[in-house]
Order: sequence, then structure tokens, then C-alpha cells
Amino acid sequence: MAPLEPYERVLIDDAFFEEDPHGEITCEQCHGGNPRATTMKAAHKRLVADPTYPNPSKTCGECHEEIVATNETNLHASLNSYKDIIGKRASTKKGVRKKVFKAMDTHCFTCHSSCGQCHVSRPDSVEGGFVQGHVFLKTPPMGTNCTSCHGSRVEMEYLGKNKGIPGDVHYTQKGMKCIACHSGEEMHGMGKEYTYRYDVENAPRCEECHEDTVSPKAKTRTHRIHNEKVSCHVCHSVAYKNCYSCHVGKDKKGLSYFKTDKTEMSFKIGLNPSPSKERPFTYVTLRHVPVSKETFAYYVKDGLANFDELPTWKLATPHNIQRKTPQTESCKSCHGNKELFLREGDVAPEERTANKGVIVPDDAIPR
Amino acid sequence: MVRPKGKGIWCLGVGFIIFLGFFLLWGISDSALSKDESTCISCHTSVRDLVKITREIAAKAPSQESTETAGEG
Repeated sequence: MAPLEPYERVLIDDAFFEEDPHGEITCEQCHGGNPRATTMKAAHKRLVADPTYPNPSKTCGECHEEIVATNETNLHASLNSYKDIIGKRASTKKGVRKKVFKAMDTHCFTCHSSCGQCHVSRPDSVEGGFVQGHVFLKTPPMGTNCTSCHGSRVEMEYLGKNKGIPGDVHYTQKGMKCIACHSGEEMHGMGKEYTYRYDVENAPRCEECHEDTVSPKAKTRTHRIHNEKVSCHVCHSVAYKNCYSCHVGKDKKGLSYFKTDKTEMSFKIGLNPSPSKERPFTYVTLRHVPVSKETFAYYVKDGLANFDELPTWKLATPHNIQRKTPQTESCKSCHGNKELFLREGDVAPEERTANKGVIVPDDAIPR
Repeated sequence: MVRPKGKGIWCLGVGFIIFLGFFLLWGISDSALSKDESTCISCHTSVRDLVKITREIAAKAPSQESTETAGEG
């Protein structure tokens, strides 16, 4: 995504007034400030740059009441996953926990989205700026509003930007953008609180399109045999990105920073950490997420005292689907191929307890 | 008593002009009116003004990005 010049970020296009119904609303109705002031400072007094975050009810909600009603329950706004995951790993000591949550607020919560940061501007976490001169876009553009945040993993995988690894067939062959699978309804929330993205009921599922493929009566023999035993990604995904560790803190100038350690491409099949009716699989693809016991050490000692509560190798759905992969070449590609599976030796010693439930013991590797 | 005919027409004419004036003002849409009056719009639609102002701001304001940030997020 090409960066915007500072002036471009705030330049309103004439099309906004001439073609967009939102252009009929006065600026101050949404943003506050003083439109009659003659200096920038006075005009920007009490100005709200994004009047849709955190609460869009008095702006978007005036007309789009139904959509806004469920806004608080969408994961881009609620950030419930952060709260849940860090909450589970955090120390139960009140003072320590408070410091962890404050650090989470400073660092992790800067990544969020809002109505405006999808439909009008680029997200704040990538420096914002109007996507199309303040014109409201019904469908957020993939490059400026989806992969601008979901870049390191999703964009690189989906578009085939990882060296030597092809892009996802849904993009390279069909040109499908994010919205083809991730609907507006999913993005807007359903009114039900979720803490785990894979629990979201209207999240995409392969069988919504590939109806006859995922079934005990599927035409393809391998699909019939492996049905419900392995996730689609186990056979149809290729190497993806794994990030390790993450430390957050503030530099000498008081500016927030994060540091992650190594990043590597690998492909690991592990045990399903959270089998469900929708995902009953025994084996799934796992991705190492950027976290360590010391993530919040700058702020507090032993902040993540319950680090072992959750695995650091998490259920993953890499966005690099291929019809033919090294796994689909023959039965022996997976059966008996220990290298493909997440084994104890693949996991750092200090993370083995956390990953106990997803590491595949040698006797559980299919023969 | 005979009413002064010429004065009546004159009053009617003035009244009509005043009415027409109000009608025309009312007819102009709110957005067009506010567009002309609003400092927000006059500034945020002018590339020249914004380039100048954003350069001034950039020269004064230090970067908010820490140079210590490293790795992929």
C-alpha cells in the first residue's frame, strides 16, 4: 500500500459534496469543531477526527441504526479476543493484572477498526488518511482497508508475496477479494459477543461454496476418507508465516514500540486445540503467534504468569489455498512424515507446557 | 373615501420583492450555503492550503513512530 502525502490524508474531493449523500451533512454535525473559526487551532477545537469510534450511534447510527446496533459485538471494535487471550495468560494478582491491561491498552488496542476506518479512511494503525477524498465507500477496498492491517500474514499469503510460495487460488485464479468470503454481516457483528474469531457463526466456511466436496459422500476418495479428521488447510495449504515472541515498551522519547524476534515460513500440522461441531477435526494447521512470557516485562515482572494457559501454536487458516500441494501428492506425503507434524522438538522448551495439547506425540502421527 | 391606488401598487411591489428575496434564499440548499461559509470545507478542499499547512505541522511535530520498533507485527 503506497503511503499518502500528509495533505492527501485530509483532502476532501468535490465528489463527496456532489455525489455522496453524506456530503449533505455539515462537517460539524459529525466531527464537531468550529466551521466559522478563522484559525486552524480554533476550527479544530473539540474536533473528533473519527466520530465513529468507539461509539458510532450518534453519527452513523442516526441513519444506519440496524447495523450500528450490533457494532459493539464485532471483533474489530470489541477487541474481545485480545482481552480474552491476554486475560487468560495474565497474572491473577490484582496490581500486576492492572499493569498488564494498561500495557494492552497502550499497545494492543491501537489495532482496531470502526465504521469510518473501513468505509472512509485507512485505519488509524496505518496512519489513516481518506481512501477516496472522504467519499463513503460501501465496500472497503482490500488494499487500503483490509490488508493494510492484515498484511504480514494474510496479505503476503493471499497475494503470493512470500518468496517461492504461490498466492491463494481464490485470488490468483478467481480474483476474489476479502469481501467475497468475509461478508459485511460478519464484519458488522451479529449482536452476540464472541471472544474467538473461529466461533463467529457467520464467519466463512469452505463448504459454503464447496458444498459437495466436504461430505462423507464426496466424489473425491481422499475427501471421503479424511472427512472430519483433518481440516481443509491440512491438505490444501502450503508454508505460511510464523512469528515469535513480542516485547512491547516505550523508548527514551516515550514513544510506544514493539519488537518481534524471528519470523519463519513453515507448515505444521498439530492437534486441534478447540474441536467444535463446526471444526471437529483431529488435525489442523497451527501457526506460532508473536507472544512470550516476557511480552509485558517492560511494564511489570511476571505479567503473564499464566502463560501456559493457552498454546502459542494456534489454530490457523492460512490464506494460501492450493488445489495441489506437497501433501496431496501421495498418502506417504503425510502418513509417516514426521517432519510435517508439530512435535515436541519443534517447540521451545519454555513453551512446551503451553503447547501440550497441540503437540502431536510420535504414536499419534498417522502411519 | 377613495383609496390611493398608486401607493397600493407600490406597496404590493415592494412586498413581492421582499418575498422573492426570502424565497430565493430559502431555495438555496443548506449544504451549498454551508459549503461557502464553512472554514472546514474551504480549507480541506484546497490542495494548496493543505500542502502548506501539513508541511508546517510536519516541521514542528516530531515523529510519533518509535525507531525501536522492529520485526513483523
